[in-house]
Formats: sequence, structure tokens, C-alpha cells
Amino acid sequence: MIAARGGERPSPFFIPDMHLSRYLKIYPDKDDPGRLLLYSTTRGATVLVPATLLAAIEDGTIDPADRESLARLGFLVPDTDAERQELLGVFDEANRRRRKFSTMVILNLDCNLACTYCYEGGLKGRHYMTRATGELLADTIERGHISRGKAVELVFYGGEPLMSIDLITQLSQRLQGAAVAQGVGYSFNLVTNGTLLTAQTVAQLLPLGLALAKVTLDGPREIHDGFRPFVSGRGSFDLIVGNVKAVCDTIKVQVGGNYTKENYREFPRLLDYLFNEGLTPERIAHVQFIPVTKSGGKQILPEFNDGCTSTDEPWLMEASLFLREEILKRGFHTPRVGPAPCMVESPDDLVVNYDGALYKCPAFLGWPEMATGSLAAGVGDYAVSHNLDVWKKDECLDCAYLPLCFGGCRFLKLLRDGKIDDVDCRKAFLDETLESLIRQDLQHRPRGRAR
Amino acid sequence: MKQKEEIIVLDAGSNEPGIIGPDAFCCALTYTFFRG
Repeated sequence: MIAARGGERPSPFFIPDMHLSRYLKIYPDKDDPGRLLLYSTTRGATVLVPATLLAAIEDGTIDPADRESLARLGFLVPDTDAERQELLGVFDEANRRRRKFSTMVILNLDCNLACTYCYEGGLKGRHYMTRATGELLADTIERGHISRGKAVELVFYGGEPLMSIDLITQLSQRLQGAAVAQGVGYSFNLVTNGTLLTAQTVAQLLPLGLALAKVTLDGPREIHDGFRPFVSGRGSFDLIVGNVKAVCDTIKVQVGGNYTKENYREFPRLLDYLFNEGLTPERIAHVQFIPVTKSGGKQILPEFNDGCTSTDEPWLMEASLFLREEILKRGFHTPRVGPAPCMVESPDDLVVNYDGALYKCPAFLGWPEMATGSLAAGVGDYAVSHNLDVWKKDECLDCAYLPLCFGGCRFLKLLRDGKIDDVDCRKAFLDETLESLIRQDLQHRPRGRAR
Repeated sequence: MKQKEEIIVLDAGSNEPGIIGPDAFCCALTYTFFRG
């Protein structure tokens, strides 16, 4: 899309001064030294501008039409101090406007796989959410959210959530009925290992609101089967791929994968395999690979110590860019670079453990001190335990990356240092990768499309 | 020369800054706990 210059030039006496947003990055245009690439971290917008434009902004001689275009896209603001102040309240405003309640429900901590790095690790066992706890959860959602006109989206997680299909059915029948009566939406997603995601199961759950399933493939068959075997030791790769083929035209399917420093370069072979098997980008909602992280807490597996705890590990920067490029160049979808606040920031995002304990992030399961309440007692005050204001300091508010980061991952900070007493700063990672990530999006995605 | 002076919008981004994203479980860029 090209924003044409021109039009009537309004009188400059009636146009307030505009200034460059403090939340933008400026990069040279590799193809034209006379141009600059501007990226707004508040909007995720990208423009190419003449290098002379910055001086024109400074001295107030910028064309009014250009000024209007850049202001609309978040590059120019009337008052940089007010912009900074506005960002402090950004979640208050977003939460006030939000009309959807999302809860991740840990239905059980049981699994038919024996993954070597399992994030639930030592917590695993035959622990299942009871019917009574499910009823309490449904009561809470009906009274606290549906009755107030909010749409509801559940994410069923485990363990393996499809080992609790009866409870999924029970909860969804009740909540879907309540939502319909109130005129709001109800849907649910599954984070599943994919082994039980058969066409028959999807057909059973589809009328109850199943919208999307995320399955995990940790690379090509021999790597995946090494990391994610069945409890029996048998590989799970072929069964999962077969299930994805059978259901991906009925529901959205996301493919995730967890890589290590040693194996990430093998992951493109998985993409080629999927493609050759007919699982093309039109049939897969998105693909995203992430590094295996240490889990910590009580669930840590003593025999697994390869996970990373920081974005600053140099190999991780290379791996992130490499795999994203491999995904995009094959035409698969993957999340854009852009503001992605943590669920901790929203009261309408919750994690409910199988026993009714509440958390603000599934990564905190196994850290009882990070529980924020229970279904029976309600949500307590977690502002201090989760250090909600950790990023509300000058160093962060003056950082152009703040809208992409908002203090980073509290879990990783806790994991590294045993306390959330500061931010998990992403500056080094973004200094190293953001320009390349933006250029990947520009190269591989349709231009000018708003997210 | 006129072409060089133009602002070229490569990506309009989102016009709803600060709204919690579509995948609220997804931490910025590389980390996510929306995982199985």
C-alpha cells in the first residue's frame, strides 16, 4: 500500500507540532541509502521514508499529509511525555474494553507420552480434575463472566487433555448452553500431543465449540520420536501426522515444536515432510518452533538440564531467526512481530489447575507460591507476587522495545534468579534480531496488510 | 525524484495498540507457554 502525498495543505497555524514516537526503531534501507526503515513497536507498523524526513519532522517543515500518515500509523505523536504516560495505562484501557474471558484449564496431569523434557515432569501422575471441580469452574465462569456478557474461550491443557474428554464434554455442554442463552460466544481450543486427536474425536467435539488444536512435533520423525515417545517407548510421530491430516480441514490446527541447541537445524526437514505429505500452508493455521526451556519448580526433571533460561543465549538468537525464515519461506504462517503482552497483565486470563488452584501462567504450575487463589476462594491479590509494575520504571518506559516486551517473561526471571525482582530484559535479544524479524515479515508476507 | 520523497507504507500494523493479542498465552517473539 502506498500512502500518496498531496492533497490540500492545511494552514500550519492550526496543526500541532508532532514528534517522533519514542517507541520506534529506525534502520537504514539496505537498497537505498537515501531512505530509512521505520518500525513502530506500539503498532507493529513499518514504513520506508526519505532520510531527510527526520529533519523535516524536527524543524516542523514536514508535509501535512505525511504528518497525518505517520501520526495515524503511530510514528508521530503530539507529546512524547503523554505517550509515555499513556503506555503506563495501556493494560487498564485494554482490559476495560475486553469482552472475552479466557481460561486455560489443566484437566489432568496424566499423559500417554513420556517426553524427555516434559514441562510437567515431576508433577505428572494420575491427577484428574473431578466432576465437582469442573462444576465449580463452570459456576465461576457462568456467574462471573457469561452473565456479564463476556464471550468465553477455554484452552484445555494437561497432561493430555483428551484423556479427560468426558469432562471437556460436560463443561462445554453446560457453558455453551449458558453462553447461547446470554447471546455470547463459547469456544475452546486444545493443547494436545495429537495422538488422540482422531477424526471421530473432532467430530464429537466440534458441535460443542472446538475451534483449534495445537499439536507438537519436535522435528523430523527420528528426533520427535526420541523426545516424545509413548510411555511404551514406541514413536508417536506417524500417528500424530496421520491425525493432523484427518482433522486439519475440519478445525484449525497449529503445529508447534520444541527445539534444542543441538537439533534446531534439523527442523526444516519436518517442514518439508509436512509439505510433501499434503500438509501445506493452506491446511495448517500456523507453525511456531520455540526453544525447550527449563521448567524449574517442583516439576523439574533431574535428568533433563538442556533447557534455556534466557533470550540472551547467542545460539537462540540465531536459531529463532533461522527457523522463522525456514517457516516463512515455505509459505507457512507464523506469528508476526508485534505487541504481545503477557497474560499476567489481564485479569481475564487465568489458568485453573486440575485441583482448582488458580495461576496466572501455566509455567508457574509447580510453584505453589505463585498460585493466585482457588476456584473456591476466588482470585487473590497477585500484584506483589507477580511484580505487576516491574516494567513501570524509567529504564523501560524510555526503551523503544517496551511495547514488544513489557518486562519480558516473569517465569524466566523466577527460574534464573529465584525471584521476580526485576524485568526479564529483552533489549540484547531485540537489538540482535528485531531488524531481521521485521525484514522477514516484509519479504514473506503481503505488504500493507493490517494485522 | 518525487518517488524518493514518498512515504511507503510496508505494513500498516494494528490500529488497536495495546489490545491483548489473539494469542494471549504467547510471550513476545520466541517464548510461549501455549505449548503441548
